[in-house]
Amino acid sequence: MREHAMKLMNRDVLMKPLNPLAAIATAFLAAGLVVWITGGEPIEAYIALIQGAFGSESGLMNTIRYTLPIVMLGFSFSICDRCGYFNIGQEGQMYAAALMIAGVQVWFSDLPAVAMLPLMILSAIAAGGIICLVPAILKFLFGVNEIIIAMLVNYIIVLLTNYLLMYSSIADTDKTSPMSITILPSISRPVLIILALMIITAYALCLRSSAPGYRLRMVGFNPHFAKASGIDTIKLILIVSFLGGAFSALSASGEILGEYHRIYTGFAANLGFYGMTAALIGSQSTLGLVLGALILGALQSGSVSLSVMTDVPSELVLVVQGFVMLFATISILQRWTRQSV
Amino acid sequence: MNNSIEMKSITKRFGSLTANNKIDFQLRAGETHALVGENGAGKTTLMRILYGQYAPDEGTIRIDGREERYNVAKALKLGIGMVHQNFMQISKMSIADNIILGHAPKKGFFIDYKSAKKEVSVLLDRFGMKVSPDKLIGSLCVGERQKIEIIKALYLGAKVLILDEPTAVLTPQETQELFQIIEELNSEGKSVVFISHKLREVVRIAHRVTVMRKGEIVRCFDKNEIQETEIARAMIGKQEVSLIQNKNRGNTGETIFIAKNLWVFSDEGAVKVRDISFDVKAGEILGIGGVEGNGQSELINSIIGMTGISGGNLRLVEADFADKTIEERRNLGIGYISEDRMTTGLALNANMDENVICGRENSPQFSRSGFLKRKEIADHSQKLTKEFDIRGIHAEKPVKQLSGGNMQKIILAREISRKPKLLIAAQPTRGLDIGAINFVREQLLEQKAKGTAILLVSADLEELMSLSDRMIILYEGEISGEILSEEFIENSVTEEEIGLMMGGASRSKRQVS
Repeated sequence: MREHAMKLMNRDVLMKPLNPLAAIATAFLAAGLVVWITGGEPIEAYIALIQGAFGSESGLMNTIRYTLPIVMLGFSFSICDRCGYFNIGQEGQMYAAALMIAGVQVWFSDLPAVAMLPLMILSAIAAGGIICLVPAILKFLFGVNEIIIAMLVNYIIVLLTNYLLMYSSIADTDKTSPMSITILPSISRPVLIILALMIITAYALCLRSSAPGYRLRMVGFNPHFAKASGIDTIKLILIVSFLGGAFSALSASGEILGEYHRIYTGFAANLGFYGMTAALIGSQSTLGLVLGALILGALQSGSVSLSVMTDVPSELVLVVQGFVMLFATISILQRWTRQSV
Repeated sequence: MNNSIEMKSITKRFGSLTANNKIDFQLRAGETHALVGENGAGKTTLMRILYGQYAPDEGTIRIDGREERYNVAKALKLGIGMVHQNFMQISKMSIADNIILGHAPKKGFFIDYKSAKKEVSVLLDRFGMKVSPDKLIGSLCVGERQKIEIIKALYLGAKVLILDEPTAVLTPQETQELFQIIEELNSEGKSVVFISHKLREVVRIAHRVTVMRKGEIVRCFDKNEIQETEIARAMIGKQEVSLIQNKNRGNTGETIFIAKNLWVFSDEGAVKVRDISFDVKAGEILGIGGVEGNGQSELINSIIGMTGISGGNLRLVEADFADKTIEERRNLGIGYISEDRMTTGLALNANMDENVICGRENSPQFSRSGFLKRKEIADHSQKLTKEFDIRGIHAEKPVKQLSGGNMQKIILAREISRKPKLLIAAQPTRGLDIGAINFVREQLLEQKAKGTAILLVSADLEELMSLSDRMIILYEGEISGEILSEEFIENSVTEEEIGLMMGGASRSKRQVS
């Protein structure tokens, strides 16, 4: 019996890193096949991608720049997932956070930048957190499916954002396309990277070694057990849901304050799915999640040089990302089904 | 007599585990052949091979002299039926629908309900079941549902019936009925394989007994050799077989726990616990008996706080705790040995350290300013590992790799190390082998000696009668009888009497009649 169990264990240990890696490798193979069938050179394309993403200092900076928001969204998905809350509302949470940032810019325009910047981030966190709480409250207190709610909330917020970017005091009406006024306080890229590294370290440390992190892991392993042992699971789940939204808000804050300095209509489009994919690749491990985000970020930053250096259109990157998502999801499904047997 | 089934040199491996090693097993027409052994001995695996669920790695099966290789579908055609521990039934379908499921008689494109119902009615009559074939399966009690499973197998033309632990969920009276059915089937020339732990039943019903241990056959007893102690010895492979008994009954202290006029409803609004009052004293083991599903789980859950109560009062020493949270109740001194190790008892994917501190991660003993003290936790868990003799622990590995006995020891270690005032032990020895059962019993009696009030809920009547100072029986959410410690001491209460209470007959009524 023991031997059998040991062997099972070993397989789990083996599968853990292998599974997501295999998913990524398969994704690249499949996308390569697409390139090859359409008459391109897959190897050449991938070399161009890698060179674009890692071959130069500016390319590397770009890769990091695209990676950071995905990491935050990965955290957002991952902690909610541990409580059984499938958080796909990240886009909505990001737009809500961005709107709050713009709102602070309009309402508190007299504040000095040192005060305005933290106020912007805090109100963004509050907005993202509350938006993320709505489906969680409906799910865990009333049994409503959170995925449907999150998708509907997403639509509402995306459309609301589009409206406000055209017809409100945050809209920049001088421009032909809808966008917000300029957000004045900004965070420089090095500071952004340092802040992000601090958040990543704190996240990993808290999850591994803090008492609340322990409780979250126990709820993730077995909510019935956690509850019977005296953990207030509902309270924990609601706090975690707020934090999930807060991470989305941090992602949005980085994008708005560090990169765009304005809100554009589609600035967060699809980012939520990248975060989810990174979390699935990482499967419970923080390092894995960051690496997963790095791959997705590298694809985005490499896509520019892809179209410059080869005949392969930069849309190939979308194909690869799609395949990564697909196979990462499959590998997760496999694990779930094996656990349930 | 001819062998209707002959399994020869059957070997089945799962990875590196050999579940069945060169097993020879014969079944004669018209006999009841019991298959006994501890959990994990390979009984169920062998029968699943016979039922076609698993293909053997080596060996042959001959049915009526012909070598056969088959799957479940063909097994049914060959006349082999199995009644599983967990019934494979659809509660929202009628009796007739459940029985004909997958094998319905057809009239052209449509199901011929008329002839199906007629056939089912005949079978129901034969087994003395006065129910309409249109009744929903979900409205039947467990004993009746089991009969339906047997009827289904017979409807499909079974000549060989495999019963996997059929009496686990039955009252003594229902068990008697089942035995009558088995004897009747035997007299018709049908053979029965009877898988069980309960040796007394095996001795009562079986013509032959095969004992398995660790995937091998230890011995096959013929009718004239069958003896309870001999079989038990063969099962565990040791000479020492006696289970530990409570030898200090009735020696109890002041009242620790009081439940008063307790009402509990299910989520659907059905009454699960109806106006129950009882108390538990220091150093007392109060046994709660009854057929499973008569309110035991709901009662426990309301005491530990997993569900709310709708009326009444709960009190531990001087404190009312009915409106307290689970955490507060545990801190007051309520310990809980879960009836289900896999769900509420342990986090299987977490390691030993994580499992033994759950619920105490915030205490100053195990954390400082929100961060866990890894060293102290590891020390604590090592101390418990030694104290409770838990085997197979690896610091970083999840506890799911451990055996059931060792998992149960982790739960005991966690709950007992909290020094509870009231310890609720729900099915504490379910699925354990004799060695582990005795360990659990020892621990409970040790807690009794230390003055802990213990609430023991068990489906195993022998266990309740061996350990309880006092006992109450639940029937449909009410107390249908109480057995006082004097009666245990004087040995003036019989298993049959308790059986009647489990079936709902209250004591006073029986005394009148």
